Amino acid sequence: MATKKVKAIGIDLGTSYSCVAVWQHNRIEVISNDQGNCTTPSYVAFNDNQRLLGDSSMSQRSMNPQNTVVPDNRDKPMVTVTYKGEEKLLAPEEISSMVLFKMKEVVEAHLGHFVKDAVITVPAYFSNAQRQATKDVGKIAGLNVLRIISEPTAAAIAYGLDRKGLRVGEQNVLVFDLGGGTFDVSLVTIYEGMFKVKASVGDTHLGGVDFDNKLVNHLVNVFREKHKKDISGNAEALVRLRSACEKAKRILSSTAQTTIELDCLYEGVDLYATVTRALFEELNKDLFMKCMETVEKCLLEARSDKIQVHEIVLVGGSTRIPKVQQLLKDMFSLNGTTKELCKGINPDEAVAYGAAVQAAILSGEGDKKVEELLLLDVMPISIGFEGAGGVMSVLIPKNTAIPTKKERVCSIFYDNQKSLTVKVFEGEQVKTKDNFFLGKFILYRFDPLPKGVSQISVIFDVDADGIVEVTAEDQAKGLKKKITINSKHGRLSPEEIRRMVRDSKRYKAEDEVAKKKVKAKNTLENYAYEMRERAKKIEEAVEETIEWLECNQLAEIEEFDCKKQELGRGKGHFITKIHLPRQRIKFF
Amino acid sequence: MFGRGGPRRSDNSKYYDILGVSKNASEDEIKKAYRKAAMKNHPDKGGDPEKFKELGQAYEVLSDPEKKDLYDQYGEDALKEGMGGGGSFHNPFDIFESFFGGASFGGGGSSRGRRQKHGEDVVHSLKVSLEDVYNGTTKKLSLSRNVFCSKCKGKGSKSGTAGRCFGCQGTGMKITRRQIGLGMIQQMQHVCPDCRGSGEVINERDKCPQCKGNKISQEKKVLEVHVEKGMQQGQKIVFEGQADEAPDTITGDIVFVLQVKDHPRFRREQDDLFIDQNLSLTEALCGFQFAVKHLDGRQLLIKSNPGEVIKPGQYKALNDEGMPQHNRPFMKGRLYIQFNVDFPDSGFLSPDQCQLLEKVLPQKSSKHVSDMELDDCEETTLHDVNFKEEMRRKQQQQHREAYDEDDDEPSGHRVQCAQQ
Repeated sequence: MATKKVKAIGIDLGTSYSCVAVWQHNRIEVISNDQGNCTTPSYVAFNDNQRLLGDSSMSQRSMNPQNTVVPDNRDKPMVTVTYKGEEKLLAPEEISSMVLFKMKEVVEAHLGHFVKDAVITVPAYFSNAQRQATKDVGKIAGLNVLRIISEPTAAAIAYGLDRKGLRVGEQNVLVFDLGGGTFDVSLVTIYEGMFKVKASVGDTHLGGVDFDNKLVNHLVNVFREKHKKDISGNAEALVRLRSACEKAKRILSSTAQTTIELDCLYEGVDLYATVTRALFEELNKDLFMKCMETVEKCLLEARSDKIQVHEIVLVGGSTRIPKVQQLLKDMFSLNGTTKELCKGINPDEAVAYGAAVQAAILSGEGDKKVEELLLLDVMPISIGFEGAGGVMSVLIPKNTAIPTKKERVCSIFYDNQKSLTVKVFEGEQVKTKDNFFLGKFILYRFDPLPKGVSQISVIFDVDADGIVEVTAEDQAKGLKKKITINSKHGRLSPEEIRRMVRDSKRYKAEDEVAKKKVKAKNTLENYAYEMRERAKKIEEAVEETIEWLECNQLAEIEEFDCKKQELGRGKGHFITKIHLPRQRIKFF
Repeated sequence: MFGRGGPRRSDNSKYYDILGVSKNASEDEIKKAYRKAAMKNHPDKGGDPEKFKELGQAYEVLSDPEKKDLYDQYGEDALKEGMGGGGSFHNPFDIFESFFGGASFGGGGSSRGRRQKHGEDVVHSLKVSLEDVYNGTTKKLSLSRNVFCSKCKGKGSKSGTAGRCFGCQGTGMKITRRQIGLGMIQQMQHVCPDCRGSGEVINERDKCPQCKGNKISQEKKVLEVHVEKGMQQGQKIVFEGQADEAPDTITGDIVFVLQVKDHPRFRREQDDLFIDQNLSLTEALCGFQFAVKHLDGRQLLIKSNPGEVIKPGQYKALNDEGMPQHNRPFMKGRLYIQFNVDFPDSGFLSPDQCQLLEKVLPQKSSKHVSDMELDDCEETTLHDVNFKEEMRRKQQQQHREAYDEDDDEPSGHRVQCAQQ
């Protein structure tokens, strides 16, 4: 029995699977869901009767492919599903909020009380607007989001809490995060309890799903060549095939060979195929090499050498692929020494683990070990303003620890210039037109002066929540103007968020109605079977009495009365238990 | 003898104070100090966000050897400007047009810093006539600019080495103190006259004979600016890498911005041309014929169609007589002619002539006033009036009122910054 309530939870909101963890009993516990799994599919399904979350949505996917959706971090499309016979248009934020809602339910079922505060993880490349959108998602799901942290930082925390992490001196940890839909490589520095991302590089369109697709495409071709039939246009067949390929991929991580058997896959034809690990590796060779190139890019960005990397932490289910581990090990094995990958941490749980640690820190829970940790949040993307010729003048580079403040002194561009426009941009490109525009303002009423004489200070100030405030000041005249780039304005307006919160509550209520309906149906079914059993017994007793009468026409009065009482006693018993209507008594 | 400024220490000591380390601290000591202070001052640990920001700034500079050197030499302000040290400003451009025509303005100089940066572009107006952009033309401009000395390749000395300036100890700036009252001292910083802000000085005997240690010499050059047919107002013609050369600087461009002068007859709108033409009443009613001299010297005969009546303000168009399109000079817009009709003054017709004319012209609209209606009407008299003067007087009055609430219009000029 838990003596103390958990205040805040950590959630790894993943593209394919999500995971939740809490600080409890002086350590981090990863919470299993109602199916006993530590990770829950990030799927939501809709059918004529109800909405399905978690494992149940996954299991019916092949039968209901059009209405089984997953939050898409990549391209943010609106999704149309059919729910209770109606077409509904869902934003990615709504779908993600349903996944978060499920994780909230999982942890509340385990703890036995409600939870409100949470730390949620996002990919390292998420911009401030995307992070704010994730906060919106949490709000829709009924959570108070204390902080959004990067997945590699969370993973590094999970590693850092290990005894090895507290070794004296600076540790450079390479976090290799290969999940279902995205791929991140980050270099995190751990120094006496302080965690900071030095570099982070990623590919938003690379992950386990892509490995599965290679196998799917291969088998589609095999099927076509063998049976002269093209299944690539059939949604149901493809979902079954993809599910089987994903399963095969997992099996191939621990065995050298497996078979895929799908009865009646398409137009009555079966699919039977043997898949070897070698084949899988050959099909995905290009993608694996792409992963290694990203590692090189990360080290380059961090201006670090392979020799300076002390540990490699694996995150994400796809890091279990033997070839991936082999390539990574080979890359970091130098001068004859073999680099071992850190396998003490479960790749599926590391991120949620770290998020729960940060949740414990922020909510004031945790023990002395946790209190000594500090997570340095960083700017995910460079920000700056537009300089002469449309050049991006970066003032706060990517991976700068926040809160931070930077100042740049500039001169005006034209003789007798009277006003100045400051345009703020976010991105890594050299030209502002290739970056993302955040906001602008105009400073007025300069004194007429030749070019290069006036001095304007431009100051960028970022607070701990990533809110950017830009100020421009004419130093001579004291003119000042500022703008707050509030990344609180995610893609959703406050009205939309409120509507989604209402929708979320309605979905929850409808889910509960559906549950009660199922329960009532089960109760009735059990009752009917019980009734049938008892009716059989009554019938047997009646038949028995009639038989006796036929054989004992000349029995004495006392004997007849005795038999009647015997039958009546049984009848009364039945009546008492079954509560049958009165008119049926006459029958007996 | 040589001034060494004590108060200058505060300019490049603040970051060390923030981190709590001495100026001789090693890289490792700086790192340790930052970790310790950051752990204490981070908002997540109950620290002051402003303090944490200062720590971040100080650590970023002191942990980067290049920035640290700049900070140690020039202080915090130099980092804010994104370059090292004060530069000397000079005006190297002496531009005049070889042909009679529009004047060009002198350009600003580029500053010389002690590290690689992009030199300033030099922007000039180039005044041309409408005939010039209709026909295309070439303007020759003579300019002088700084280029690296060809003899010493920009090093300033025969041996290729330079010494530290004794006057400013290599900083490029000198501090002068002056007493301006009892107990009051004014301290000013200015460019060192010995080295002109570069921080370097070359031994007299080692000076390059051609540039005399200046590293650069004046080059006179003639630029041919090709004004192509159909170029637009404000269009830029760029000569890449033709601005001042300077050590450690990527040479900037010379940019000419086209300024097309107004033409007395023709007005341009994109690829079309417009002219006004006055007609007499007789010409408007009975036909006209006149000649227009085009921008390329051709005489165009403009002739009305028989029986056509021109109304005041009416437009007529000629195809392919507008402006050439830039980059497609054989395609031209239209030439529009807007007509105005000059009516004769009162009294040019006698009552008899008026009756004769009435027979020829279309019939009046029959709106005769009946005798009964005439009794109800009050008779009036029309007066002569100079309408233009009336309008001008009203506008002046409005102008006087508008002047009292004068507002500056915002313009979209951008910040100009050197890159960090």
